[in-house]
Amino acid sequence: MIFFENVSKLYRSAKDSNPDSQDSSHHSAAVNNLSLKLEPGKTHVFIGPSGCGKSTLLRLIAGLEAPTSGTVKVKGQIPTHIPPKVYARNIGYVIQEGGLFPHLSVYENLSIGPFGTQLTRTEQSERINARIEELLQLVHLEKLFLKRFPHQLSGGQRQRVALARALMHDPGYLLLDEPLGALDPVVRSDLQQSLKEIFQSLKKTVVLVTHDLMEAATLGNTLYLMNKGSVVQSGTFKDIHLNPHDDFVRTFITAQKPSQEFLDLWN
Amino acid sequence: MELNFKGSTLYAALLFGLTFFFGFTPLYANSFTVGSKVFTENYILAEIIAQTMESEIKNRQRSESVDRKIGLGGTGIVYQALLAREIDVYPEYTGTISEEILKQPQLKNINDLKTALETKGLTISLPLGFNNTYAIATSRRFAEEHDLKNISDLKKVPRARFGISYEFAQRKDGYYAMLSHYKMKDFFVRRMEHSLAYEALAANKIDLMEIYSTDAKVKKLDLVVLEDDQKFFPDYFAVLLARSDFAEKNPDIWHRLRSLEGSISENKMIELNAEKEIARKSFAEIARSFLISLDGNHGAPETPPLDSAQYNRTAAPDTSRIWFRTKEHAFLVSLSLFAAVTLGIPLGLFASRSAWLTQLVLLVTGLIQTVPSLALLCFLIPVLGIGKPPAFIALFLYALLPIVRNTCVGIQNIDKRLIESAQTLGLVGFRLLRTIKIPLAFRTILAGIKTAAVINVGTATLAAFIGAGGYGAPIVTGLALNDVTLILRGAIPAALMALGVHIFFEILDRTFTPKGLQGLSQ
Repeated sequence: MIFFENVSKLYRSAKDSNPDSQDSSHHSAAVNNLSLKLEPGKTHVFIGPSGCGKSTLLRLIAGLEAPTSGTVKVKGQIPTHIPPKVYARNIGYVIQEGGLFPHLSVYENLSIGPFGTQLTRTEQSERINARIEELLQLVHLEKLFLKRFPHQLSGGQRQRVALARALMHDPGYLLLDEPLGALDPVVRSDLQQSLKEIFQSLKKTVVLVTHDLMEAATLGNTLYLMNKGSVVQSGTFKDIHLNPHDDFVRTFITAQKPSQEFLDLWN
Repeated sequence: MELNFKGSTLYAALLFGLTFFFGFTPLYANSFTVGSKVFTENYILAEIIAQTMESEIKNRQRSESVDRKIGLGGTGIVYQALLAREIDVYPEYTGTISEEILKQPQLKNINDLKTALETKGLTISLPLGFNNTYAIATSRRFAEEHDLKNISDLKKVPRARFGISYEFAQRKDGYYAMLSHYKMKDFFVRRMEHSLAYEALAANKIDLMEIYSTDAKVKKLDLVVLEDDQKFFPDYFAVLLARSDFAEKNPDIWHRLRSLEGSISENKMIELNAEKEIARKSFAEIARSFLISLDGNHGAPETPPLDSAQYNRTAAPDTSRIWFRTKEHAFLVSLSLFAAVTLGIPLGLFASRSAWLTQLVLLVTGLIQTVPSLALLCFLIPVLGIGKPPAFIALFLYALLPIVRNTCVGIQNIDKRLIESAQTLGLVGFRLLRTIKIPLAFRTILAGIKTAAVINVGTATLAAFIGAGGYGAPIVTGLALNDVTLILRGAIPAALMALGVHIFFEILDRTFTPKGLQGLSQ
């Protein structure tokens, strides 16, 4: 379970010329007094225009940022209060271009995270190798890729490796920030399908951020439409597109021009 | 598969590859040291002093040896070396002592000078004989064209090009004082290394230059010396300037050295200078035949002393000497570089932690870089003396900036999202540094070390000015003697070494850059 309780995250605006000013109007709020409860085992998709605060929300869950005010709790714990080494076992985090380390091979990228220290070296590497084999099957990659370096892979393959890496420790929470954003349409729909299968088979709590409505509809159990740091409307895609709360929601949906065929799928 | 970055292997390779030759010049427990400035006459006098001391040591069956720290630099450096006990005695001139060292130009008389020097723990001999004062020279063609006979005549040529040495420009009894004494306006001044001014005058690039009155090149280049008709230039009688404790503890040697008083006339000195600059004899030979002519009975040693590698000009450039200089040079460069890497990389990593620290560290290291190398060497003499230690420290300081800067910039330029990805994988602290940050910044850091190494190969040639040896030794001597072949004998190997260092680092780059980064644009 992920909780957001009156969470705000402010960034000092670059234009701010008076550093002494405590007036919040001089700061830009990436997340603005947000309260949320994300059910475990479901796929939650945050969607909205760029700058709406959806990536910041993900970074708060990942423990990369601490909120300016309010509390974020993941599985009852405050992410930034736990040592990264420990918290890392709880989450898998995938960013737009994968975040693979360019100087390391696929194998090294997968095995770099710290593993349990009680095991001997051989036990450890056996366990790592077994886990890697499992995950390669899950993300549809062949073993021969293990020796390659990130720049020798296609964009889609890189995202598959990144996903496998995020799942190495079998974390309870999978966080994805525009994981398909940099891919061309064919690869994208291919990978979308894979992601959907993986989410369904793993039954993990997935938090995914995208600006693509169709992707959100395809992958998400619940959609959260965000604007200016707040969630404007949440629910299934059907709820949102049939009953848009306000003009912003309506505009956002029509701007993405979903085809009638696509919309019919949900009716 | 092994994840460990090859950092330690690399460091070992650096250690082996760069510090391949070590060895401080052994410090003799019992030795006297003679110094000199960087010009022919001072070299000759220093060698005469050294051989006289050796002869006296032999006569008295004493066991000391005599070290020659020849061609240390200008007055300031040699004088500092004397105060710092790096040398015991060197040839100096009365005018220089009153004007430059004591800064009391009113002291003309040798006894007054002696009294004033006593407070500094120094003493002097009576004049050796000749007066080597400043004079103004011009080419015969220019003198005839404008009918120049004395310095006052220079008012006829206000647009003349005047080549002056840095020392003459600066001295209280130098160029500007001369202008005001003669009530003349400034000429077109070209400041240049003294030995290069002769070339410039011969090539008609300048019209006037300052010379010394015992200068052998006056005859060689057929220069016209202008008479000091208004008696501006003070006397520059050559004397021995020594530490008082040296003279007091070794009265026999000091007494013997003082037997040189009054023994060298002006013509004799011109002749000795010409033996070097025209006949190209070795200093040892010139000094020996002079001492024999002076007093055959207890003259010079029968066998010439081992010539210091610094200034034997007549010997062929045998490979052992080049090898020796190469070792000296490589030693200076590699040891200073090694120290700079050891300190610079941690400092760069530390600086990369915040923008504020980065600015501070880069400012400080950058400031050091702006100090001219000769000035830095000079500042270090009072603290570290002369020879290798100050040269080593100066080179170390110069190597620091490129290494610190590149380490810092290399770390900061890593994509922030990669660092965050690492954090969400549980990689923090030292492990993050070792597995992610350093490998990703590796090429930038290595490029910084390479820059530092190449710069140091060049800068190390200046170390010869303070007696640290290396390829700079023939360059400095060559400048003093106006000998292009000798200059090239230092300059060419230095250039080759710089090239070698460059290639060495290219190989390191290819060998140790993580495979995944090779072929990617840097």
